[in-house]
Amino acid sequence: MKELTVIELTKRFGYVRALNKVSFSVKGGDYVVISGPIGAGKTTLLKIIAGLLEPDSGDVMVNGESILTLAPEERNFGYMPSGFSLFPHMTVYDNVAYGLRAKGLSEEEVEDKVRSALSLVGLWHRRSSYPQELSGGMKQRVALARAIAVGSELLLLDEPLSALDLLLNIELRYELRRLAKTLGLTVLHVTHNFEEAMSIADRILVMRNGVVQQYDVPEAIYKKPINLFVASFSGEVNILEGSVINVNDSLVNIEVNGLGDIQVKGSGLQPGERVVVVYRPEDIIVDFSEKSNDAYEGKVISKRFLGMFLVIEVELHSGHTLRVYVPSYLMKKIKRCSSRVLVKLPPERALVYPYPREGLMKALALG
Amino acid sequence: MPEVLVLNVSKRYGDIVALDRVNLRVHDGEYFCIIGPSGCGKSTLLKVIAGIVRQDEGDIYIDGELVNNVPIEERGIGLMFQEIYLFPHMNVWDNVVYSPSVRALDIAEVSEIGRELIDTLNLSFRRRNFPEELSLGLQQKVALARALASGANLLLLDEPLGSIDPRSAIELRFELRKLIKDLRLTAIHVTHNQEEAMLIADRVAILRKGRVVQIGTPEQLYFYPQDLFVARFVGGESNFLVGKIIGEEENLKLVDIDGLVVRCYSKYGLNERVVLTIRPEMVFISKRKLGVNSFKATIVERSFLGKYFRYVVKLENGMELVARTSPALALDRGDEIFISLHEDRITVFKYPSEGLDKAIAYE
Repeated sequence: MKELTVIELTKRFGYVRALNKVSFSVKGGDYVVISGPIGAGKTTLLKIIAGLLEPDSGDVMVNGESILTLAPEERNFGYMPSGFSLFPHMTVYDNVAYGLRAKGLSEEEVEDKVRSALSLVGLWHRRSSYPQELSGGMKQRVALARAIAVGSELLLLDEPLSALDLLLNIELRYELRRLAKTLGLTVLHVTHNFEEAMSIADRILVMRNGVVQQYDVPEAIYKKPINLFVASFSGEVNILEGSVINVNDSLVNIEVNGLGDIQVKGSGLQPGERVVVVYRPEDIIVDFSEKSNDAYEGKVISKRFLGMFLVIEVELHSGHTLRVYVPSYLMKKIKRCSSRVLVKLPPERALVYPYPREGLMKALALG
Repeated sequence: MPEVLVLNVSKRYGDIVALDRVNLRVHDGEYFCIIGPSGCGKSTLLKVIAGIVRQDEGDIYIDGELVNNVPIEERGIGLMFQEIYLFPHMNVWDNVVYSPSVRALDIAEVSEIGRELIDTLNLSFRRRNFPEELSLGLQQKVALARALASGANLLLLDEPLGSIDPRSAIELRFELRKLIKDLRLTAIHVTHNQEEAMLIADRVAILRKGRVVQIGTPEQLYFYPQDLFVARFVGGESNFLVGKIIGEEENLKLVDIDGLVVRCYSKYGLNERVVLTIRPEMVFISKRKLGVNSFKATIVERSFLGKYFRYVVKLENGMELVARTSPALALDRGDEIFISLHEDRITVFKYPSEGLDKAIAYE
């Protein structure tokens, strides 16, 4: 497969617009994750590509040719629906062989393909086991083997890791990516978990209410989210409301209520404009020097150890509470709660957005 | 004030041992988490403490009183589950003050309790809404308010954030802990999510196959895992290196791992087979050789995770390690670098008799 192109797909269910002019394209061999909250239209999108749903308008093309008129089996995509289930009365081998036999392959060909698919997921030695004898992670890998065994170049995975415990979810993410890369597969993977999306994807398509918000590499989405929703969906945020005082080239002075003026990098803002300034918790710097001009004094009101990081909450004199991630080797420097610290808000790390017309709550809502 | 004592509690379901002589003490005012893989017995343990399930052996004390024969409604506990049970036809306010013990009070007291909880949980602007108009995160907060309205000062929570989307669940972790601490309650919270437990708990018990493997603060579990399973389970991914002690040099043991010699502290002697565990964030990446355990390596995988980069590096002996670094250190696949393993940050275990795979199996 060279390229999958989705053009202005629209789909309504009654009054609900599940997809609204969704367009994007995927290069062959890319691992693309479709992420968004529940109700974003992710599954609808995947089902249309798989051929299980018809769009109201728009097109899906592979290498420049529309596939909308093709039946699901003619598209020959591997599809793993969410809440997948293995046939409980069939062995691992027969579960994987099921789709191949349905295609009318000879038993020799079937065995060949089942062996290679199960070997890839490291479960050939469990081929005679029944699903209930396997752990959750193993079942997931069998389901995956079943999806890849048919030999399609495009794999459509709907929440493939969501039913797993966190540890297995984390470990299987990387296995999944490695497998796809080894086989040169193109993958579309749906998840509501953005961290999972970041760990696995070449590119992420962020959706909300049927509309594409942003389509880019994980780093670009996390560091330059296009709007407040994407900022908050893609990671933790501290939010400060203020208004623009003046603009000097790319430096903008913003008055934040109670905090005074802060300087941020931004463009396209006008003096007087109401804005929202967003800081990721790891972008705020805790300053251990005694005095500093551009730092704010506050007190640590909570401190939690998370392994690689400490997460602390700092209450500033202004009443704002900031959440800050600090590398945990600095643990000894933050002795206990209620110790005083200085925090810095680096101008180049600020994300600045016009104050949303619909209000902050609605702009951030996951619905 | 509630202190919970679990003494030698066992529970079997037919041939399956759900709990095997479990002992633990939850202090008054403590936020205590019980974590472990699916099927480890953690929910059963919570149900035994609540009085929903009767143990086969052992005793439960709440606040110094033996409660084996005390029914659930007299144990003074608030309960919350992953499934959110709210009355769909009642608004937030009516759901919160529903409990019979609350309704027995006079109207002034009822509104006092309701108002206080609803304010504390920031639900005031939603008090007239019906459950279906609320997000799952908000619905769970209403369920929490209702559990607290009965005046219970011991809260038992079974995967309370399990059905909520990951972003809202992270915010609720902070809120839940703050609430429990502000109200000076004792909480026992069951989860399979070790990140959630690390953030929320004062102390954590790790359960595996019905047994308590280790109890400690998040720091203790992270820095001093008692066995290989805990080393794998706490802190996310870990690196496991199998080798043999081949010598000693100035208090440091030399461990041969497929031709690579790693220096570390260990109580084990010459020729002992060992497993070294090193957390990904303790695999330091640098341009030059640094320290006693510095090895040439190549970046083979790279993922950006916001707060850090995750790299897979391949060493000259073919071994692969996972490393996590600050997002300031951006490298690409194919880059040649050095990794260094700090001798203080390597935990050494004896090679398990049942084999490494079984010792760390997630079950």
